Amino acid sequence: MTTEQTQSKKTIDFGFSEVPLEEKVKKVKGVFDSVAGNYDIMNDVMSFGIHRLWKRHAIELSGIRPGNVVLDLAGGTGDLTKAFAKRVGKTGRVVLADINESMVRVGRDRLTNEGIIGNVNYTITNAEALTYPDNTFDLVTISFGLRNVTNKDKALAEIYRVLKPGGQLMVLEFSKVTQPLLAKAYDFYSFNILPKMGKLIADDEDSYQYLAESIRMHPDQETLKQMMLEAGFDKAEYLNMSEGIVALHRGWKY
Amino acid sequence: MDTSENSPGLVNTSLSKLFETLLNQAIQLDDQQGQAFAACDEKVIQLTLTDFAQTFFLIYQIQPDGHGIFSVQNHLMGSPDCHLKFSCNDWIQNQPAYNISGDETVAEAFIEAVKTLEIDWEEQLSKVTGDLIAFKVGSTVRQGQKTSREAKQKIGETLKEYLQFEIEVLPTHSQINRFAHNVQQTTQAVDQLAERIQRLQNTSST
Repeated sequence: MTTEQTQSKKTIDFGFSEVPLEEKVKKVKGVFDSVAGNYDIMNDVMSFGIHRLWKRHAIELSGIRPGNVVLDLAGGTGDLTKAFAKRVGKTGRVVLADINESMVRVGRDRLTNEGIIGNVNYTITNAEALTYPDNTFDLVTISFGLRNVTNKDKALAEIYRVLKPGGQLMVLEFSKVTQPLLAKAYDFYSFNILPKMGKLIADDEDSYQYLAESIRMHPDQETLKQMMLEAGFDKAEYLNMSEGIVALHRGWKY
Repeated sequence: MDTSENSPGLVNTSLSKLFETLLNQAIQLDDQQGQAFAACDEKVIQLTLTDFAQTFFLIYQIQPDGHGIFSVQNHLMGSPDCHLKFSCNDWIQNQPAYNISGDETVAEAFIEAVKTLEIDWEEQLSKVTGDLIAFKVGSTVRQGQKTSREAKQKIGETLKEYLQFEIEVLPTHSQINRFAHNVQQTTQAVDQLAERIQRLQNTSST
């Protein structure tokens, strides 16, 4: 059996279903092509606006300052990029990177319309194969994007490579709810209400069903922390927000 | 490395967001649009409120359109350009005493810029209520401030007179001056006497 045939036999989760390894990127692209136009409004509706506070908290903990160079992976519509661009100033730089062209376009148009120009670059990038030299960034963030990456270990190792010594990775992602009662309510909301809201607002039930499923398939807090350490990070820790609905993982390269 | 000691909770995050909004709102409403902050461009100012042991890092950036905005956060990678410590209580009483470390030029420019912030509340109110109501509210507030100032002055003078002349527990300014003068004369006389004794002792021993 050739390497190519072996590769095509390998499968990976896409929500609750298994798909051939090379199919996941296309399928995820399909989901985000579909939701890009309504992504911001859906985020607000789905999280009752709390996603803004989660992101703000991540920005707080980044401790970013003028002159820093930041890579906002899976940057989507540019929420974090906007905040970082204001902080790094003229002497710093923020790169908004996303594998999905539609999301980058939405993000670029939105930030340009808001006057965020000059210190932001936009690029279509696969997190598993970053096209930057070693030791380039002071901070790399990936917000609500890691669960859609096919090979997370490879992406984490790449992020570690492009971080400067002393640099920090921040992964903001849905995680495992720590409060049992809330977990039941959250499950009900995710699988019964969320797809219906997707249908109502974005006319796309399937994509929001996938979002709910992909959250359940994402590694829990401790597993992801371990993955970061195995990828080479010298220190890793996480912070649960809203009882673990979202966790902020931070990893440092020394 | 991160210089902050503790991870802020969501409450601290909300506080810094609130502070950022208030600060930027004040700059927007300022007659000069906060131009006095230009010296703080691309600088990080650490503010510590000693009463609450609360620290904020303020980053001022002049945007491509020429307007400056502050970003406020609880954490910082590396060290700030300057560190200002002050008490909110002193600040409210209009007697702020700043403890400055780091780049004093930036710190002083920031303090001066804050002092020059002048918001024309009456103008802002008139946009909502119309000129007539805004003028009436403005007059009432100004009258209230004048009355309060006069009352404060009168109470101060009455209390001073009562303590100094009625129950005589506090000396007057001239009494203190006279006392200080007498103490000074006595000190000089004692010093002269000590010097003379020293000379006599030296003479007798030889």
